[in-house]
Amino acid sequence: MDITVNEGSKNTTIGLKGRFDFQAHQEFRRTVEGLLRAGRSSLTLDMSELSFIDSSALGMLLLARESCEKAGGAVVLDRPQEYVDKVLRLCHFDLLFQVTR
Amino acid sequence: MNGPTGTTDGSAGSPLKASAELRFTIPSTPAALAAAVRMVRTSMEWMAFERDWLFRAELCLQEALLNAHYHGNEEDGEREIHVVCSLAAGKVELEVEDQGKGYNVFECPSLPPKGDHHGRGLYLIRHYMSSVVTHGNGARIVMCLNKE
Repeated sequence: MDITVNEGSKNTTIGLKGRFDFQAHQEFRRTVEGLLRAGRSSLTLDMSELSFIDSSALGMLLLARESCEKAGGAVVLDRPQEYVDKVLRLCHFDLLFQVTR
Repeated sequence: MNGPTGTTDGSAGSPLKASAELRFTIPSTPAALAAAVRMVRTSMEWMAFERDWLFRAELCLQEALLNAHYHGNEEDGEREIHVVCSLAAGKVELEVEDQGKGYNVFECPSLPPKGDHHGRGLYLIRHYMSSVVTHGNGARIVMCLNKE
């Protein structure tokens, strides 16, 4: 998965491109931890170019959400596409996260 | 490799009426898991399975392999995972067997409590596949997609 970070004045957007699965674990975790250390706890995950997501990625999303909320922020899931969105809905992630479509 | 456009029955296009059976044994490592999923996906693309079936099969095979690696083989790279993938018009059968003690797929909760980091893999498999059966001590799982 390709990860890009765009730091705005208030929010930080993390662009996720490709497959979000067990192989992306380290890079995603490092990215989130680095932003939290820099005081960026309101994160928007741009999922518009994400083609695949598995259960280990869902676990990573939950960990990121916990960490951000502990730091006073939140995680927003932005524009998940067809198949990724189905998995998120199926696992009730739209009840756990703010999802913008 | 992209095949011709599929139709709604789960398989179509060229090569028409093709079938394939892939059998391989991989070491229980993340890299081998990823390669196995790529191999099955490429074969399904070549056989022009529709996108929905590609996604279902790819996701469920990956979830079964993750369970085999992390829970069955306990991340022991010396252990192996056996995979059989049968592809035909209107039917996909995926079989994954690890060298662990096994588990009962039907004893797992339908969906873990909100916020729980684990436990969604089997839920996804049961949702996306037409049928799921475990054999022996549960270390072998057979998942089928059938044309309705």
